[in-house]
Amino acid sequence: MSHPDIAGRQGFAAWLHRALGRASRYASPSLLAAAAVLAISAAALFVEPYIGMADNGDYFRILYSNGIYFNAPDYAGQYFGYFVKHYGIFQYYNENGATLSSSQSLFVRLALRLNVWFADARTFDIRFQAAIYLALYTAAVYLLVEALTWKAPAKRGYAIAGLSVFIFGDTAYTAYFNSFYSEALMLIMSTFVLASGLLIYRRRFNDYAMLAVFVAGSLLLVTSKQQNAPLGILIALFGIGVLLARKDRPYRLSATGGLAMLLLVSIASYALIPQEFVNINKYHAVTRGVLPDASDPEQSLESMGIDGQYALLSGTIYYEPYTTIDVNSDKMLTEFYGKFGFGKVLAYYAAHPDQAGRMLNLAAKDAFTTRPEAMGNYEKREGRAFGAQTQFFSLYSTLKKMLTPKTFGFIFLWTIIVLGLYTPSFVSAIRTKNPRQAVRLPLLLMMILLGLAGIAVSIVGAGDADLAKHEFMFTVVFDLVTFMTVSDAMLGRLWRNVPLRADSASAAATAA
Amino acid sequence: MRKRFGTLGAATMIVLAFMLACSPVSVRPVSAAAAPAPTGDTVLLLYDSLALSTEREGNVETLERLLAAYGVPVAALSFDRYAEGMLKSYRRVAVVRNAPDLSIANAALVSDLASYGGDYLQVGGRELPDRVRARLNLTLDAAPLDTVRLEAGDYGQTLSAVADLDEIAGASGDAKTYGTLTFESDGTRSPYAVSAGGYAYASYLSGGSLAELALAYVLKDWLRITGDFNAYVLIKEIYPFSDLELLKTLADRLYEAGVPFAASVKPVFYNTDYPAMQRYIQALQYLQARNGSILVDAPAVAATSTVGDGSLRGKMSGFIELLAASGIAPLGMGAGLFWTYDEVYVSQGMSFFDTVFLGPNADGQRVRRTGASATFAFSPYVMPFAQLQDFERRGVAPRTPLPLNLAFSFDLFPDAAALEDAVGAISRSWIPFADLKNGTHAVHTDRLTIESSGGGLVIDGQPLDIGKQERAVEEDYAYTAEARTSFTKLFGIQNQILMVIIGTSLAVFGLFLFIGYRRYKRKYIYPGGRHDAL
Repeated sequence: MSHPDIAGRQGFAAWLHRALGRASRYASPSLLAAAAVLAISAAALFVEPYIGMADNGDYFRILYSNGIYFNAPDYAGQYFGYFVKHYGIFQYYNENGATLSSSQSLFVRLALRLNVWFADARTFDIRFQAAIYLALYTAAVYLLVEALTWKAPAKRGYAIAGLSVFIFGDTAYTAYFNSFYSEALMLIMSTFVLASGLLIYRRRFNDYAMLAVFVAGSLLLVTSKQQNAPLGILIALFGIGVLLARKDRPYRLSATGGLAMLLLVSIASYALIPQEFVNINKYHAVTRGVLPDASDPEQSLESMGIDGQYALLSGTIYYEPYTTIDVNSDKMLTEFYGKFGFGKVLAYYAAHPDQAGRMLNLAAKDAFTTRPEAMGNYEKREGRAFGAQTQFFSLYSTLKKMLTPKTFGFIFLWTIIVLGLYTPSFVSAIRTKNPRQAVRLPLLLMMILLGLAGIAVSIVGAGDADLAKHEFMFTVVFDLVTFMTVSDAMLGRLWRNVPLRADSASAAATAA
Repeated sequence: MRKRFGTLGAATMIVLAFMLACSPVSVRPVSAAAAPAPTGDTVLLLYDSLALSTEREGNVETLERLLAAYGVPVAALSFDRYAEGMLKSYRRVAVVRNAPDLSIANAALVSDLASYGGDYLQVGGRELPDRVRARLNLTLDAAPLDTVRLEAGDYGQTLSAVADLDEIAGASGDAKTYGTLTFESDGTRSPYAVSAGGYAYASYLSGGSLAELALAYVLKDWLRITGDFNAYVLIKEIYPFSDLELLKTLADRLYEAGVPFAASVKPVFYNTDYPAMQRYIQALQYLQARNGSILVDAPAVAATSTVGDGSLRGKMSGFIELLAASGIAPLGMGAGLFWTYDEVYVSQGMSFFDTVFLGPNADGQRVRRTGASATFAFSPYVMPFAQLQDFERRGVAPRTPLPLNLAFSFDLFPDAAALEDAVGAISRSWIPFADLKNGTHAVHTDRLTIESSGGGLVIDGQPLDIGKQERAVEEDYAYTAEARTSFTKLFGIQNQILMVIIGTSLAVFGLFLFIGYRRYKRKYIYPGGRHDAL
């Protein structure tokens, strides 16, 4: 290699260093990442052709009870195929009661109010909701990247920021903002929960403010969807790490109160699941979960207290157009749904680990799919094919879907590796009796368990029915945790603790 | 003051009743072909209100079912939806007035009815076309709220607190009267209905009461139907998930009591090779061997289904063929009335059958509504047996012929005690129940034909031996097929090799870790290490 070459490279490196140094004065990696995610998502959501998600038939549950209705004359013909951005606003008394209780309603109502104030009192434009979600998401991405890149060398910090944009700016995620699916809220709140937990760990901002974000994000996450109700218990349990971050009484009281509230809300949220949903899930838990793969379905049913003759329902779904028995009939209520709870399904899988393993492998096939294939992204007026999906800024989700090994063994290995990488710093923190430094591993474990619980709840709660959509929680968690692991690896912070704020620098000195 | 029917009227009724009573009771085998020949003329059924949340709720549907039992297609329409000139397309019009205090607001309907020249039937209301009123010479009074006793055929029933009843206070002498209404408060009597020529008027109709049967007598004459009719026992709600042993016991008890019966069984579309299905088939074979006739019940329709998915035809024919392959000959279908109005259900689910037992509507969804209902060659009117038990049998000795084919239905019983009660009640009813197999019924799929005639069953021209041995249930059925594997041995060896490689790697990794840790510790212990350099 010639000397001028070496000199040129060194010159470029020096220039890059200076440039990044200057840039960091105006825009930190976190600010840049947030701005880039905002810009890319805004281009997707608010610039033609608008990107959104088609209705799979679930929208009515959240729409009608919140005063919005389908006003497109050909709406029924657009199910699954096309994204619809305009809806009618009820002008008179709305007789539709809430079919489900979801924190999503808060955002729908806020968007509706803004729509009425600033645009139209008769037509709801879903982009008002997308704007709210995007603002929150930008803040969440900012906090997450800030938690990971604070006090990091500029070059690596910006690389991490770029990675975050690549992962979290993906339209497979952000298209949910232009939809009435609760997945949008799950994505935003999961990001807030991890980011706030990490920021408490790093003592970057005010602990009370971050605790508030942690608890509020968890509450909104848990109540966004019935399926998420059990997740609150996990957060309440593993969030104890966050509680122990400080020893002062006011903080611990605040954290205890927040986590207790989360536990109660989680239980209440589970108890409030409408019976119809419970029955739909029970039906699928048995007919799409326990029965199809059982070596003796009749025996399986009898072990759960159900007549073995119901083995004939194996493989069927609740929404079959023509069935032997009305799935809502009294006979089904007393002889089928009334005979078991989800505890029995869980016990069944515990007693049949081979079958549970096969179900987990089946679940793993969809665990890395961010965007369900069934739903289109474009409006009908764009003239695209029915169900066409956008390719705009979706390389990450495409690669992830193509390249990840789709077995539960991979998920297991990923879990072990991630936890293994972070264990030394945790052990070190325990040894040195530094509870704040010990926050990171329980937080990570909590996130992973949220994802795994998402899979488990899907299988126990509804068998293999609609797995691709039910596993969204795992998809998000996988990306968050992998992003965090890669970032920490880039910064060399995997098995050692990271610099904290000056007043706790002594704790950092205890790092391994 | 209400007009009383005098001695002459009473005498006329006694003579009529005697004549009816002396008519021979049908014991002849009925056949789909010999059943009341459908007129082919659609009846336009107009109604002012569906009387929701009143005692008359469902009476429009009752009239639709009665007409369907006579093989008459029905086009049902509310007054509001009537458009000028529609009456011209129909030779028969039936009008139901459930809100007699309201005049007809649709001027086109008023005008068209005034000039309408076809057959006309009205149930309730005092507002009639002049020509009809004149022909029947009808005088109608609004009766006060009262308890009323209705008598029709061999039965009587006391109806409490009947509101908005329009009493026939007088009618033309040559008009035929039907049944009797007796008002409890003052003992006055009036006919339930009158008819003359193509005109008829009935005072009242409520579903689930004797008025159904009373109106059937009127309809039989109004539609000019002739023929003999029979009663059948129909067992419904038979699922593969039912207590199949109890079902067999029921078959035994009815067989012992000499009561032939029809069993409307739920179809199964999936997992039909499972032992559970074999048990179901076995039970149905047993029913058939005990003089039971098998009907295929309509499948449950998902409330969320808004369009047919095109699978119904294949599913239904598949189930019929499965039964036939098991030596079971379904002779017809059981369905709710709404099926006959639905284009998809009719064309894909009912077109196999010429015999359909039409029951009241359950919760169902019409996929696509056609103009008029579909009709079938043989379509008995389904009435719950419990409803018959609410009727009091009158003391008149001979049996009055039934006005239509009637199927008295039971839902399969929850336990043996209920079963015994029902079989006892059937025996005590003294109704001569007919055997469906004695009639001519046919079921056609693309692959086979099932027929019955004179008590025999034939599948594709081959007589069926209903006493054939049941097929044994395959209790060791293999639910999950063993996955096909190839190169098992090779992959087994490969697995072992990989396990050795991974195990060795782990051991070497552990060794390196140990050595590294020792060296790391050593640098703090021995001088000259990096620690000193710092």
